[in-house]
Amino acid sequence: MKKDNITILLLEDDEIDAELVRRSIKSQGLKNPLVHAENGEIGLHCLRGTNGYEKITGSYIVMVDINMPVMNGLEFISAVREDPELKDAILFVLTTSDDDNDIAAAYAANVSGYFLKGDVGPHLVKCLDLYNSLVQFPPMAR
Amino acid sequence: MTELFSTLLDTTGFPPRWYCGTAWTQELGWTHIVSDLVIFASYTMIPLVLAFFIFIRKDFPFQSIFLLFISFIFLCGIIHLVEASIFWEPWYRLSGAVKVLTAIVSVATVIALTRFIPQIMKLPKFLNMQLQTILENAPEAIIITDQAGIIESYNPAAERIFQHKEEDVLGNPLSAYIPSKFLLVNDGSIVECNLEKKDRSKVPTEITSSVVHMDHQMKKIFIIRDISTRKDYEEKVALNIELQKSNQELNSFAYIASHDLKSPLRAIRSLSSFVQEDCYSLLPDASKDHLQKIEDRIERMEALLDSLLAYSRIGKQPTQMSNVDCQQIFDTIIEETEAPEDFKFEMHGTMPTLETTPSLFTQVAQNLVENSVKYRSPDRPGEVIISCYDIGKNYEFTIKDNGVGIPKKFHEKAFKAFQRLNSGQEIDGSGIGLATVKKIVEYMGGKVVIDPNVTEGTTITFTWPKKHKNPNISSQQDIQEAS
Repeated sequence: MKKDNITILLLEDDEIDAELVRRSIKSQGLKNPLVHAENGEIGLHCLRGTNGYEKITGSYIVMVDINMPVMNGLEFISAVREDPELKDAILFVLTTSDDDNDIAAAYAANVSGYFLKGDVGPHLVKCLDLYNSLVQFPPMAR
Repeated sequence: MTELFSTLLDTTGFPPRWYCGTAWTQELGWTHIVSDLVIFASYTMIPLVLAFFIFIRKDFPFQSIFLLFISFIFLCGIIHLVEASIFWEPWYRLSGAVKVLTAIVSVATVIALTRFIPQIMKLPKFLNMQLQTILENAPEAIIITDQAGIIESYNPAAERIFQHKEEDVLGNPLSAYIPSKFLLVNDGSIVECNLEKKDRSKVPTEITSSVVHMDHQMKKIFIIRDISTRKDYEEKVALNIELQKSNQELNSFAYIASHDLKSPLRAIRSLSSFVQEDCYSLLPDASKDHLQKIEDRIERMEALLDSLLAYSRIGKQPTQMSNVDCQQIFDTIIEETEAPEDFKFEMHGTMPTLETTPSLFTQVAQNLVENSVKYRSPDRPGEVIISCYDIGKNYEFTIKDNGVGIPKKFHEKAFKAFQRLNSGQEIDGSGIGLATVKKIVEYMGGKVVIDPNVTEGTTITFTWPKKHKNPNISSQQDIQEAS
């Protein structure tokens, strides 16, 4: 599998944070398509292709913020885990919340990693790039 | 006098009784004599016993009646003695005189008895005296009224609570003192109400009243308890709950505020980095410097918000206990500090292994050690001495440095949040470090003080309990013991 085909779905309500990720991807020379959704509900539409949103095809990973309007990150994660088609999705949390309750709730829903926005910076994109190149995706999402 | 006596004792003209008439037999004569003597003996003993009783019980009412009884019974005895002696000495004059005296005392006794009888009738029965004692000693006001509500009894506690005297209220309707709506429920249930004292001030009370039959009459008994102490206590509890609530709100406010403030701050940092990325080379040097300063301030504010968050979280998060090797914790902290080369760290005493919450102990140790490094004196090479001693129920840790020190007048202020004793420019600090230390140490049940007697540098001592008292913190051992 070519790692450049892996779509990155970014759930982020803060446009500047979203731009930071977009810039980091660009500056690290990644070619992966990036889909940006402003909240959990739009994120679900992107994964399901509902409500006029184009469905993400092929392998993807999701970067989820916790605090978002309409549908927050934890609600999104549980909605994905309850959806028989989406339940195996690889989800990372990228948030400002270092609250133990949030971290515990996210891992209880089997996220693949929990990152703090302040900590990662451009390293996160490198880390994702390397992750994408090495990881085996669940069969359903290929 | 002698003449009177000789007249009384004169027996001329009378024969002794044995010779008075012809039918006396020995049996009949001695029957009279012995009986009279036995009666005399008894009538002497009875007054003696009565006299002994009133001599001991001087409090007993109607002493005069007793004296009359004593004299009249004794005189009756004397009459019988004289009667017995007349068998040999016929002193009928003496006998007559004693009878006159006895008659006078008897009449006096009858008059006294008839006069005192109504009062004697009023004497409380034995059971009522016990009740009287209870009434007088009860802490509750106990007021007894007749069926119409006229006060018949008003105990000392009632006088104490309402400040009315018993003699002033007896015969008055109780409704003159207590609003009648509180007097209508007589089923033994408790009515809470504020009642007026004599001086018009109010006293919170609880009234229980019931209807009883006493001496073939219907009576109402009102038992009134002064509950002002309890009310005060209840008010304090309510205030305390409110205080706890507002403290909690303050904590969550601090959490939300610091959390929500972080996101715009991060956005500013990103935006400034975008500017740098896109056009750093185009910027004049002054703008480059300004951008750098923006970043410095952002970092300071982030550190501040982080410590505020940490501060607000103390005691809110579940505390996990484990064995904490203090030596290791201090070693790690010392390794991570940004101390200059010549800064010396020393450890005295044996560092214990504590069963406690690692993150909290680390925060305390780290704040104190970092303060020592941060506030080192520019005039001499820095030095920190960390020591620990076992002082019974607690361990006592002391962190002593030779830094700039804290002026004595600021010692108390130093533990308050956002109190910075130097200007922000000189040393980079959040102003919340010592406040965090104090909050954690006190939460764990210890104490922290700045040694007031140290003139150079700062010496801070804190205690850490070997066994945690805080109910939220239970050791693993406790949990095991419980299960």
